[in-house]
Amino acid sequence: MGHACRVLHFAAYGSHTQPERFDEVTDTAGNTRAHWPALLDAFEKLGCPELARRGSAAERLVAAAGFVTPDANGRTVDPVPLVFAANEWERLSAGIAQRVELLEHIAADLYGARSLVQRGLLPVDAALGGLDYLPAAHGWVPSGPRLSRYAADIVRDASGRFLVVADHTENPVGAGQALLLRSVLTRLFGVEHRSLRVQPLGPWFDTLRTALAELAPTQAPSGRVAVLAPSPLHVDYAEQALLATHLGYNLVDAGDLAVRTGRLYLRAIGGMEPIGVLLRAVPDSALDPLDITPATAMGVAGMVQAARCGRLGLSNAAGSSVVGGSRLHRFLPQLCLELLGEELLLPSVMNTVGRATTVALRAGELEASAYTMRVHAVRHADGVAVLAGGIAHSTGGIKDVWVVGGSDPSARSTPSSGVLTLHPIDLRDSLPCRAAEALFWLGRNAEHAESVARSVHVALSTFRVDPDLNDIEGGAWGQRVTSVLALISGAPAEGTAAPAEGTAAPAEGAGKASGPASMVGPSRDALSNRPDALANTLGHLVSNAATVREFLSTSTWRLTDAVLSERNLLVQPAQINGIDLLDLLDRTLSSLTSLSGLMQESVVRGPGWRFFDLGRRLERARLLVTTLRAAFSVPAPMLVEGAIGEFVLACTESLVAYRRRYRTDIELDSLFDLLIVDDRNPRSLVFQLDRIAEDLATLPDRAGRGTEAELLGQITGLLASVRADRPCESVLLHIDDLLATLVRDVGTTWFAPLPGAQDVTTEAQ
Amino acid sequence: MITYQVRHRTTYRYDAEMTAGHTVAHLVPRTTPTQTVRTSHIRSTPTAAEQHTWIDVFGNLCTYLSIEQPHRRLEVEVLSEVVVSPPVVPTDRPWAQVVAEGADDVTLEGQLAQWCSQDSPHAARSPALADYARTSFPSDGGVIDGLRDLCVRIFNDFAFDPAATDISTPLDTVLTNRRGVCQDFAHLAIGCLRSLGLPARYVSGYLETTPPPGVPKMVGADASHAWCSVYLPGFGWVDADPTNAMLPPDRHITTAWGRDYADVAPLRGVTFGPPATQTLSVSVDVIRLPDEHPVAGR
Repeated sequence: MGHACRVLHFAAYGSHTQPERFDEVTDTAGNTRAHWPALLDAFEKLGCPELARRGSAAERLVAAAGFVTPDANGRTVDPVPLVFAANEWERLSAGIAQRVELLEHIAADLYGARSLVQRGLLPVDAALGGLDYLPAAHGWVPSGPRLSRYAADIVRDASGRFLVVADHTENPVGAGQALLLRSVLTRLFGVEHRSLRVQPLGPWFDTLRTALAELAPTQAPSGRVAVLAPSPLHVDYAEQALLATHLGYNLVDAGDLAVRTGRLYLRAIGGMEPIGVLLRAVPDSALDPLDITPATAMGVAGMVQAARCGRLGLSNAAGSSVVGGSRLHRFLPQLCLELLGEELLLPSVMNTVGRATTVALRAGELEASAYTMRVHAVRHADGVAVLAGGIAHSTGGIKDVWVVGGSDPSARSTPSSGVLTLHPIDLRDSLPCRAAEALFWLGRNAEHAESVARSVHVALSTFRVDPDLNDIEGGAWGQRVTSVLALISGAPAEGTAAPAEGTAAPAEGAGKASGPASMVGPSRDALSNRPDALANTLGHLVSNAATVREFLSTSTWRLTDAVLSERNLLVQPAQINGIDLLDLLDRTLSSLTSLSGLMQESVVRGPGWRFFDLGRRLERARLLVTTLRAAFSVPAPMLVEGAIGEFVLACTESLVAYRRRYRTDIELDSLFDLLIVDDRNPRSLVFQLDRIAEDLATLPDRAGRGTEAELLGQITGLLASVRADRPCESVLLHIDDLLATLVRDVGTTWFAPLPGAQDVTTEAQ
Repeated sequence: MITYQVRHRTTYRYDAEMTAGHTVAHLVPRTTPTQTVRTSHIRSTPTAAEQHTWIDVFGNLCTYLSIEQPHRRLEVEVLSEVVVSPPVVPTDRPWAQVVAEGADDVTLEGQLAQWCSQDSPHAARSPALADYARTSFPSDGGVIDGLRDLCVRIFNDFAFDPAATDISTPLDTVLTNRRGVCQDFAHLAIGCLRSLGLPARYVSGYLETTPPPGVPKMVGADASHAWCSVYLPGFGWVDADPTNAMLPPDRHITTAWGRDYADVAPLRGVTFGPPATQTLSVSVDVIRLPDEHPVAGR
């Protein structure tokens, strides 16, 4: 938004409409339809600036949930809802229900007797045409309806008749986004929403949960429901993450799943968990490499077979895309008469010219905009339930659809039959291995990024304040600092004071060695030129976060967006100089510490959080050891020892703690005491080891566990031997090795993928 | 009538231990108008933890095998006894008539035939294929004449060369390079026929490996074989083998049919294990069994 606002005359909206087109707000006589005035009055009272403000807020909230805004057409959120009277919505719902029923019959026939073609009701082209017909779905009956979920794109013609533009039968998406938009608008327009008695969306999702439970095959009653998501890069990923979270199911990808003894299992950190029902948010072509042609490596081998044997319920059933194409449209009226004995209530239409309009708010102006809306349905044992709302697309952006009036919303409820539920999932305990791994890496990358950013910041700001530091003792300070920055950003370890690229290396044998002329070169290396440079780590962090969207709070997304834009600046060398750079690092550190805070304060302490914390603690411990090695393994000249110590304390956020505790100049023995053995300093090594032990203790038993306790014990033993003394290089190296082994063991114990699938192989002829 | 014993053994060897595998086989021969299956047994080593058989949309017998124990070698062996009688070749009719009548045939078989006149993943229509086919199918030509001629031309114009193609080689490449194996020639013929509007399907099966003295051994006899088939409304399917330039007599044994290879691949599998190199070996023996019940009076 942010456009200059005029006074919005909702009352004068009628002047924008075209007489030859149906309009939702204004009837042909120019009068406002009965269910609109209350809303229009309320919005007019709010006024344009306030509407614009709330519209922008809605956009931010929708984007924060990971939805792409603006959409492909540059549209965002139109805060003015599309309102329907309950009786009209009931009429539309009856049409949707009939269509679901009809398409279900057709799909059953096409994968069964194929009598519709024989009876001349469908030509072969329409029935088997294209590549939508899935041969593997023929000849067996799934555990429940083929179309347990359905959505239609709806428009109205000039007479106000509802028409279907498209049927979504394979994987109808958008209900999650509708739920999100509704919760956003309810927050922003609570008063208006309540006063209009808008029908709630919640009950439909309860029905969806019931319908999914009903798909559970009798042969696999104990199975859970999971949502098979597309790739995190897919435009629908946010929708599926939201849906899974709302329904309380695990969001999984094909790599998390495996078929064993004819059943589908989820690879979770507690072991293999049976899955009875899969809401698959992927197309038929990504279901099962054994059954889908042409052969692809996508999907889960044996999954269609599990469904065929009645051990897995799929929503929607394999092959359901066959009834989604527009090629069936012109045969539907006759098929409806033949199969259901009824007139088709919702005709199909390809051409959307002249379709109905509604009020839209675009660029601060009211206009009459053509719209399309997606209406969702779920089929359950007692019939078809239609979502009382949805999302409409107008020139103003996405619109919430409000159904107002009708029976008391609280009286409407879930299906009357005994409500079926599967074993409730304690999502806190059921953690897919893939998610555990991503959370572990999120923890490691967040810590790594924070550490590198802080170290570079300290190096640059110290040098700016006191450039003379580097003239002491042949630039020993600069060399050590360079060495720390090099090692923590992944430079090959070749001696502790190896100068980094682009720095003034001490000329060999040329008398007095000197430090780097400025800290800009070493900083640039640590920020963007090395394997573990800040820019790379931030990139990894953002992609880790994207794959565990369902575990992270909404506010996290604003932070990762910020992190991403900071990362993009870091990789532009031109940005990396002087004050700009310090400013950028300040912002990055602020985003990263906010992220830490959110993870600390807004995530349930389930195994997911434990893996995040484990990653963070292990990384912090390793970086601490690395920093100490780089800074002190070669004794520094007395004159700069204190300055180097101060640098290390600042990098590890322990400088204030040091000063408050010791009230002396920096002495190395005290420094080591604070950074290694002080179990009350949240930055010390011992503190990290305690947390690591605590995290590990909460995780379930699993084959291959046991080495962790031993490794931690060895590290503790080494520390006991150096207590009250300065650890030597060899001890630090040894601890670093043990920590590296611990990291590796965590990986092999918990994240080892199902041994990698071979390519699909076929025997040639 | 000739009785054949077919032994088809496929062995995958891995240079590392595989933990599990899922396989779908189209290896158990189906019954056809000219073929009766007396017995057929499929078994795997290691033994499958799960084994299921179902009938697919084309009427083929499919077997699902799930191997769930560590293995470095997976062997799937099928032993079948099949009785084959010579097919009846119908009276010829104009191919244009077959195209026209096909669109009205909505019997279950006719529906599949119409489906088989559309593009499929490995055998899509193209103007180049239509051009190649037209020489064999002049506008007033007969369908059987055309089919024979097309087989002879493919046999003469194309070299049998196992090194030239693999499963993923597109039809255009085969047409340009003029080399391939039976699978390519079957797809080529199917593509040609479909490009003219004729319903054509892919047939997977075997040839007699060791013919009686004096009868020449056919090309492709040492592995599973493939050919094509055309649908004549009111009659049924007529097989044609472009690799051997003939309408098959009674020395072809049918396993399965579909739109193309992808519908009926003898074995298709996904194996789980560490990265490994796999080697595949296939052996096929098709032996003519002596008549058990000689016809009296001969």
